[in-house]
Amino acid sequence: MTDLKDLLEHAAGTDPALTDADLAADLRRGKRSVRRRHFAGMAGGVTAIAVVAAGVWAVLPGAETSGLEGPAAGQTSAIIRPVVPTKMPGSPVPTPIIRHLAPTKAAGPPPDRTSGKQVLPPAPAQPVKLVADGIVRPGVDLVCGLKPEGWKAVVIKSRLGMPPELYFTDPALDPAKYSIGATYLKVRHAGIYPDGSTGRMLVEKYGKTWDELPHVAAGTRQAIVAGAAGGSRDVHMRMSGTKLLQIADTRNLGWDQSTLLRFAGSCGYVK
Amino acid sequence: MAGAQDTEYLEYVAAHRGRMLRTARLLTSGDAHWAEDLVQVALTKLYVHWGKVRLAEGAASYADRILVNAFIDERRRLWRSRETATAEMLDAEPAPGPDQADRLTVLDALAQLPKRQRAAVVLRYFRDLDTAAVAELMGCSQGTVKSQTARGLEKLRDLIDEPLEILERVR
Repeated sequence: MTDLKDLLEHAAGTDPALTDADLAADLRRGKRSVRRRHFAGMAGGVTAIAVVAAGVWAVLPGAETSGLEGPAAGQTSAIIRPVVPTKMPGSPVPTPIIRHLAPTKAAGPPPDRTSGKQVLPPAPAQPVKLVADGIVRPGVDLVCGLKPEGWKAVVIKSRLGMPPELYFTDPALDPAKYSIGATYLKVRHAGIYPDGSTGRMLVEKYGKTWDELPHVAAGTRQAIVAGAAGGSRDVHMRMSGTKLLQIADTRNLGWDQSTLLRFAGSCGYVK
Repeated sequence: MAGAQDTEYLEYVAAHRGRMLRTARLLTSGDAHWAEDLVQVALTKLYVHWGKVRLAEGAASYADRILVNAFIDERRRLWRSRETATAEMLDAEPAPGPDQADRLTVLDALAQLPKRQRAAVVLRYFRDLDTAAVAELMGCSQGTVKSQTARGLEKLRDLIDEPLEILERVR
């Protein structure tokens, strides 16, 4: 089994050979950038001075217009108005503007991972019949007491150093019609660990503590259900203080929420 | 910049350029030209602020932050999105050693992650940085780093751990 670190090390390729020309080019680019910044700074300063001088010139009473004559009769002339101070002596103090902050969003289901928008669970679909399973499959420490009728189980051995996962899929589905990973009901381990600052248990996927998220019952256990775009749903079921199982219906395969939770509640570790 | 500082800068570049380039390759999902651009941008900005950062906060942290921000903010350069690399040198001249198909699979999978998820996964698992360091580099909270990493990993699991016949469709 290869872990993620090895895969990334391999994918990053070899350390490239560094030549003196590369170093010289980096230094040259840096020096050029410093020169450009100095020049930009000076040009900005000159421009600012010019703008201020022009402003002063324009509002100064009795300022001459370079010796040119005024506009001829019939032409529209610009009127230079005196600059009025914002607060005249003796005038009342202006009322400060109070800005109200927008109310904070109420806690709801976690946002959709692709769009970032809050997505409600989809409307209940036609439930699929659940039948008894409970088969312990070699190579995986997960087992489900139920499975969708006619579906087959697949054990997925992770190449990322994660524990093996148990997937269920409908053999009648044509994988070519779905995006990658979208035809499975997945049962896998998920991350939950103490938050560094508060010590409360943080659900890794959502970056929130378990207590902050709304719970539902999945069999005898507590769970979090989140909906995502396309009707897929995600159940995180608390197995113990430090263990969490994720059951993901990635394709809204015709399950309503109660069926999904009944299925999730039947899953657990091999004893 | 004084000559001594130039020498220090060059020593830093000689020691860290390779690591930065490898990180950039993963961030860009194997786009060698884009990766080189990111590294050059980071090193150029590092030179401009070298006198300050080498003493105050550490050059490595500063350079990494520029690299990651340059990658995440790349959308500002519109021409980038219109260009698509179609002829990878990797196909024409595979590097010796381990399986190139594995490498391309990982790079393809990384390419399908949103930028922030990709950056979080690369910094956590390739660079071995902890969540606090990644949060500082990405300019976000540790909770955000954790959730971005978890989502990125979940997607990578879906893409990399699929049965072989499905992986073929990814390539």
